Amino acid sequence: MSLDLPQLLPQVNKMGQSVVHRLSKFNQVLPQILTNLNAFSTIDTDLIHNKIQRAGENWPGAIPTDDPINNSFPAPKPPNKFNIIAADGSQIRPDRHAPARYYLINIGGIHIQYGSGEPPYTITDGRIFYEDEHLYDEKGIEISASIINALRDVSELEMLAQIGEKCRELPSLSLLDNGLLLWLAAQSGEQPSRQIGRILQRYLQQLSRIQSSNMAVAGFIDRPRHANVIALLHLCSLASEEISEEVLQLSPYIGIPDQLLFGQILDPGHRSALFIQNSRLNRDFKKAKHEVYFFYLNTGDKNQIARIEVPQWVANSPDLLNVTHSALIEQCKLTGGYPYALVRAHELAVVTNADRQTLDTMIQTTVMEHGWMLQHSLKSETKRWTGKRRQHTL
Amino acid sequence: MDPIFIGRVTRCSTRGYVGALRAPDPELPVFGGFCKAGAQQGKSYVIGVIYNISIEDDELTRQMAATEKPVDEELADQQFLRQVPVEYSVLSIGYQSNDRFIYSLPPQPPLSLASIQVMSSDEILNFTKHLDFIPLILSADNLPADDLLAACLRNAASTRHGPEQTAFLIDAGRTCARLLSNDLNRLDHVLRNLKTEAMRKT
Repeated sequence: MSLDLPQLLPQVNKMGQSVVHRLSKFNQVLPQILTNLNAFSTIDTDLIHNKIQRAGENWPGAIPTDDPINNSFPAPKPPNKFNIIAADGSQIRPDRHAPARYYLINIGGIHIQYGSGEPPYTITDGRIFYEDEHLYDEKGIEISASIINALRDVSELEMLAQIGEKCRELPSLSLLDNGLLLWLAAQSGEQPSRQIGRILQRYLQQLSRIQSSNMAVAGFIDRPRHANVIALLHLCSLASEEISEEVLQLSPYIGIPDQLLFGQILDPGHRSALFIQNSRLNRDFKKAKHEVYFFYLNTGDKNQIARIEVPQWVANSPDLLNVTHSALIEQCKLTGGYPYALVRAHELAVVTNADRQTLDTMIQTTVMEHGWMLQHSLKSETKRWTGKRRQHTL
Repeated sequence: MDPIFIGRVTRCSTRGYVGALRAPDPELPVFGGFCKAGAQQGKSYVIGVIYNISIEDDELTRQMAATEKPVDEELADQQFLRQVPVEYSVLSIGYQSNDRFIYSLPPQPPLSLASIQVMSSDEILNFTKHLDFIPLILSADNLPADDLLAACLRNAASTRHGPEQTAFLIDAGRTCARLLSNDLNRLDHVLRNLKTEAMRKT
């Protein structure tokens, strides 16, 4: 073992104290936040929207909808028969030490028709990208990990859309294991590159495809660290004339996630009110009629709080919203808080190191049949030598 | 008739091999069934009998087992689709080379990922014309050798009919009596298990 544990022990002890200090600080502040939540649920919505406008475009808070912000909704009864579709992705990024330059995107999908008694339909779709046009952009710069991740996100959504087109007859929910706002586009600042713009357009097209199948789509975020509702409560606590970027940055609630708050008010199976995330990217989604709403959900017996993101056409449709809520609660029963279909989609998609090594060997063999030799770099080779050493375990 | 494949070899030795398949048919593989796998680059087939069929579990399976009312569709997913292979062990009892059966351990085991196929009734009938494989089963350690022997002899008997079947079982019983003459308890156990349903009724 390379880790010198005795050397790390003092740091671990300090870290433990820090974690305890932070948690006790949260517990002290939480009652005040709860009081604010209840108090601000009755104030004039025009006043709140006025404050949000003053906070500016970059304010990372939650915009309330028609629901009172402290509302809690029990799970509706699920339909007798319904479809759950889930997709997850995994990737191999280009590695200059590998025998060949390529990247791979592997998507796992599952379609379960509840109430049918039939085994689900499962699919694994892997694609290798190895041509220059795939590996380099127009300036000759090699494709980045974040672009590959975004292409994987598009492929996940594409798989949901493909499967969803075959199940229009029953209420259906399609699921992703992350938020709905394309992360890459959210990170790209005011002027995203043309490449990012194209990926975003493909992503939005897939959302439209899913919408036309009359199927709900939701992004499931387990253990969310978002603090959009907490930011809203801080904003509401300020007088309108006090609001400025500097004051907003001095929030006494920094570091406290929304899930801690909703863990206090949501019973098992209940969901929170709907909110809209205030962000530049979400305004682009709104233009495409896919503005992202979210709610928090107590997923069941283990009192886990998840954040569920849905597009506006799901949030504004009582039928689609109900099937999202009730189907998610059914999905989480087996695992205690995480949708079964996502567990299986991940299992179908995951690419292990062993898989990668096997794929590299297959590529080497194919090239060898044509009279050429491809090899790992010496650095990679020597890492494999030392990696095989037997290690003591604790 | 086309050969029936029941998976591939995952690990092996001259004494036997382990095969794996995704989900079992209702009838295959079965305890005491005869099978064979290619070895020596196709020059020979290693013949064996199946014992110890097992299915590995994982956390998700255990979680589902502990659920009061598992959902039908999730149950079907676990049983038929998840890539949790059925594993079975095969005891080598001979090999086939140049159309001859040799009743001893093979010179080489099959390679990993060699396909394993069920032996046809004719192949079982021909292989069991000689009972020289019985000592290899009786001498096997760490497996239920007596039950395995009885199961594979009953299986071999089922490829014969009428008086031929009875004659085969009597012959097999005599061979067992000779080999187990110093352990009458084991012999008794094997002979009791050797009786077919028809013999029990008479």
